[in-house]
Amino acid sequence: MLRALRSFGFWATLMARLMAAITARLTDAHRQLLAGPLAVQVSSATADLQPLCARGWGVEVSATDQLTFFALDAQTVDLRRALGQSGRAAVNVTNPVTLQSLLFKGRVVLIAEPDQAAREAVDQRLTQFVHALSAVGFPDFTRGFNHPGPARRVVLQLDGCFEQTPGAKAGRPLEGA
Amino acid sequence: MNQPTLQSLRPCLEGILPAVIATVAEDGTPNVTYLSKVWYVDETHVALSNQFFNKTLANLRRNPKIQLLLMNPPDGQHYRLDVEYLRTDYAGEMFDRMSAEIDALASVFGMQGVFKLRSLEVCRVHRIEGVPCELASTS
Repeated sequence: MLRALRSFGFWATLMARLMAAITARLTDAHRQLLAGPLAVQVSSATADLQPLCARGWGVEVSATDQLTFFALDAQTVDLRRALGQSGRAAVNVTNPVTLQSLLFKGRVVLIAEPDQAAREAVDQRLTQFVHALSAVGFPDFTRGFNHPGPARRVVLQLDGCFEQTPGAKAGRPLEGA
Repeated sequence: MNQPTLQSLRPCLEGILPAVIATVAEDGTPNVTYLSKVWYVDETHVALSNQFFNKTLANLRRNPKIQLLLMNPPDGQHYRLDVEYLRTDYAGEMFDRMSAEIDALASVFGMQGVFKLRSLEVCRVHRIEGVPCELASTS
């Protein structure tokens, strides 16, 4: 029995059941937020607890509680090093017009080498973001958000999700759909 | 890119665009959120507006290290600042002026009563760096 409890299969199944609870708590409003234009902020930390942050792009959350985002190489050198070493990340997503926000926390399971698909994903989300902000009177300043170099895909296994919209509920764990 | 100074970043500190604040808990868990305004105190100090900080403040009580991400309103150029939390102010001239500014910002966003200044977190600035971007790389 003890041997069975220690088996990889048991723990993998248990963890999957426990962790699948994250995306199950997302409401339709949350899913709409994730599908729309997003300002994405990513943070991690060095071994001596120095926080690091950078802009991310193209957040997607899967039914298996994995979050994917894209990071521009030139803007995330230190951050990617910290993500690789500590394995821990926080990702804030905010609609730049409504300020509706969510905060995800998790552990890094993949940092993929730069490729054209990642770059195209960044460009697509940047265009979406620029259009959203142009519509509310910020036509040009998002130029400074971009860098024309390569990008990488980063995948997290989520272990937490929190309300982050300004107001009384900011910082509270999601309670459920 | 010239080495930026806090003085040169004054346009980023007008509160037109929100700043980003990253902190870390003792166990290494990172946190990241927005704040409405970073206030210029002097060439080596800033004050951060606290309206919604919960986890951020808990982290700062244990680990004073902060990284801020500021955006320049005209062109979107980003700057990273490594700063150290020094103290919390709940009153005083700077608090009153910041509170009035936050109230004005709240009216712009239609969030009166939601955006309410709770405290100022006063910090020392240790390092400023420009973030590589399309604007900088092509200018």
